[in-house]
Amino acid sequence: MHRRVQTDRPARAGKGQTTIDYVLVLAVVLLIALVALGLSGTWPDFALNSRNQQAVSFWRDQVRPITIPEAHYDMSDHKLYFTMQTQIDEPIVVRNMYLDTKQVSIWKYYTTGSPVVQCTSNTCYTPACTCNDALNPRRRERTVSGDLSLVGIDPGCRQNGAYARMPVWLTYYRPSEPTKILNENTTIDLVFDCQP
Amino acid sequence: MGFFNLRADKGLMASSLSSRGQTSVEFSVILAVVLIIGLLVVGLGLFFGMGSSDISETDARAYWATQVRPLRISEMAGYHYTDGCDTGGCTYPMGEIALKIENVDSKPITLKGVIMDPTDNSYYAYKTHSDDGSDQTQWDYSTPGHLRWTNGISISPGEQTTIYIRAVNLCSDLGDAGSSTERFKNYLTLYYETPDLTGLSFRGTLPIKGPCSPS
Repeated sequence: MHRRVQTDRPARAGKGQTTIDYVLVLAVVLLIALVALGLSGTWPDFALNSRNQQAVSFWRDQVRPITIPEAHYDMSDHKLYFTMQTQIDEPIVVRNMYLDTKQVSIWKYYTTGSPVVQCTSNTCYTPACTCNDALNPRRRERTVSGDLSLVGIDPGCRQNGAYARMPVWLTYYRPSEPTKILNENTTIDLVFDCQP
Repeated sequence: MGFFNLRADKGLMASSLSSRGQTSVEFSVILAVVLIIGLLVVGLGLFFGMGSSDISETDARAYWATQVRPLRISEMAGYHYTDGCDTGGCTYPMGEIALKIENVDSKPITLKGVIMDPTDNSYYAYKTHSDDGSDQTQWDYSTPGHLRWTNGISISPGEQTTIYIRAVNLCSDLGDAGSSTERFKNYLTLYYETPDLTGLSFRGTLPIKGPCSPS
């Protein structure tokens, strides 16, 4: 009995070894499969797109008090064309806009005529400027940023049809309390498409 | 006791060596099976053209139906005209691609043009399907010098509309070298505008793909 126990031990150790080998091979194969899937581009695209769609919905419908229902980056003039809409029943004045932590100038954008700058500087990189872009209650306002390349912002747009994302931070106030500066700063990036 | 231990150690060693040998054989067998499966998958992938360099039809359709915005292509179909036009000398384009376009945004979108690769062709837009390529009421056309239609097609949020694009290279063996009467594969650009912003376009990073059915 004592001897059987002794001879059984190596067999069990061997089985344990086989299991470890099997798990190791399986891990390597899974790793190779994941790398192949990543290189093929299918899986990351789906994952990224799901994240993008959530961000689009968030900025279009959920964020308060200012939503950004649509945004497009023009790769030719390096400007972000977007709309802003207040979701409360009183006017709001957007004082500053930061994209990717850098302050940018914003312009009222009309379908006819030239855009009208809302800030004390056309570029807003130095010294920091103040914009006072008045938004009417619950109305979409067409807006365009200044040339983002001038303030060192590269959203990573390389081709039409691709999407890019950037953190957005707005400071604003209500005309009824002009000294009380409020923030709209979320952890969810603004997603926009790349226009030629 | 010492003798007994020696014998036991010998047995232990022999058993351990035998077990290691068996483990090694099992490991080799597992490795061989995995390698064979890997080779089979790679071989099948290459055989069916599913390598990473060429996107599959399923992936292309899934991309256009689920990942793009604000206009998605929920369905696509190709038609090759077999009557009259396939013997040459026909004035009508050789094929047609039907696109069911859906507005997935929360505001109305106006479709202002459709162009595919190669972009130097003329892409004629119709609102009805043709069995033989014979002319019907054309909505408008897109060419390099006239990308956007004069009148757009307004699509409400959640609405689907079908347009039929005819061109010499679609589901045809005319036009460019890569075109065929069996299948279509074209990169697609949609021109559109929203109630607030105009002059927008979306070029898919994947092509539209599918079989061409005889009309």
